[in-house]
Amino acid sequence: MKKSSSFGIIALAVMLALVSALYLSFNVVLPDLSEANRQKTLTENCKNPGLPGEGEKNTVFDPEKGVVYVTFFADGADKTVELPFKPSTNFAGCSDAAVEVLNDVKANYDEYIQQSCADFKAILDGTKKMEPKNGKTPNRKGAEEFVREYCS
Amino acid sequence: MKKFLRFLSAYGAATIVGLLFLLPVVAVQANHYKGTYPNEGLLFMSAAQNYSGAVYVASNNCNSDETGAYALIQASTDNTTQMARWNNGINMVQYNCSGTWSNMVDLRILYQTNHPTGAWGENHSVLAPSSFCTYWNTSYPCGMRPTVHINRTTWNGISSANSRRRLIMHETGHSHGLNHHCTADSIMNNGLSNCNSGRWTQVMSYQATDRTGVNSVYP
Repeated sequence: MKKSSSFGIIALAVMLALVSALYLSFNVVLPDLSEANRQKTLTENCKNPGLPGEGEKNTVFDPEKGVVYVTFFADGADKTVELPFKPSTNFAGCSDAAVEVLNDVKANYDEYIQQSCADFKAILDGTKKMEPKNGKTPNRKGAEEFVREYCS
Repeated sequence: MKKFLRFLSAYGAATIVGLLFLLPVVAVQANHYKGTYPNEGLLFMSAAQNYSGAVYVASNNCNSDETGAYALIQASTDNTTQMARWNNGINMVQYNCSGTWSNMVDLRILYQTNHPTGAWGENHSVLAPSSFCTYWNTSYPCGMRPTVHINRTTWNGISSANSRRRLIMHETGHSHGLNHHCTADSIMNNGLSNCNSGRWTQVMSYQATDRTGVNSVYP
């Protein structure tokens, strides 16, 4: 009984230690599962993104989550801020700097969708052949899904 | 009390050990990774496509400095210790000169006259939709669809071919999943004086640290 009690204490300690070590190493804020809090953070980020006036601003857009990750260089290192992507509101509530970046992301995304639609539609109506790439044969089903979801 | 002390000592020891193992890993990641994005890099660089390394590029201004940059990238990533999984390194191929997306294109380079921020270049990626992953017979998420924006005004003002090639190598490095890197010579230095003392101008190929970074992006 004593041995299993000691084992349990040590096991619990090790698990907690691992979580602590991960936290300290990655400086990760343990995720707040509240969606409302997350949206509040995104809104605040868009109001005060801390973006520099000049310099490279690289972005990654996740259309499914509706968020844009903006990376910029400041104080000798890259920093990333997460912004909400709400073009239907004209990015209301966002700073001018954030709106500029989000408009760039929107233009880039719209172009991607438009050009990909043209490509996949041509494949589906037979005016363009489905080509293999690096020995990999594509799947027509993917073209059908893309056109169904994105192309009017 | 004894139980508490036992707990405290086990917790303390395990935390220290955990930190000793994790901190170096995180330090490497922090230098090379792009960050906590959904899914980094390019499908045809990944395990899903057997690390083929073939990257098809659409550019709206095909030029010899682009292809010169691709040659430098391949030469400095082929047959290397850090990128042993890629049989031919990173093999970038000019696919079209309209700069238009298609299912075959992995990366797009667009030269823009009125570049919004004045930066020499930027990288804007979209997470590939699940239907694109289905098209190439793999599961979602399956990588990014990146566009490199090159400031055309700046480009036209750069007289040195090496500088233009270095810019292409740097910006396409972001497309491959790399962040800026400032603690050693790297194609991902950004040229500023507070990033590796501006030594970016001395770098004309992927360095060991860049190759380590690429290897880390594609598990």
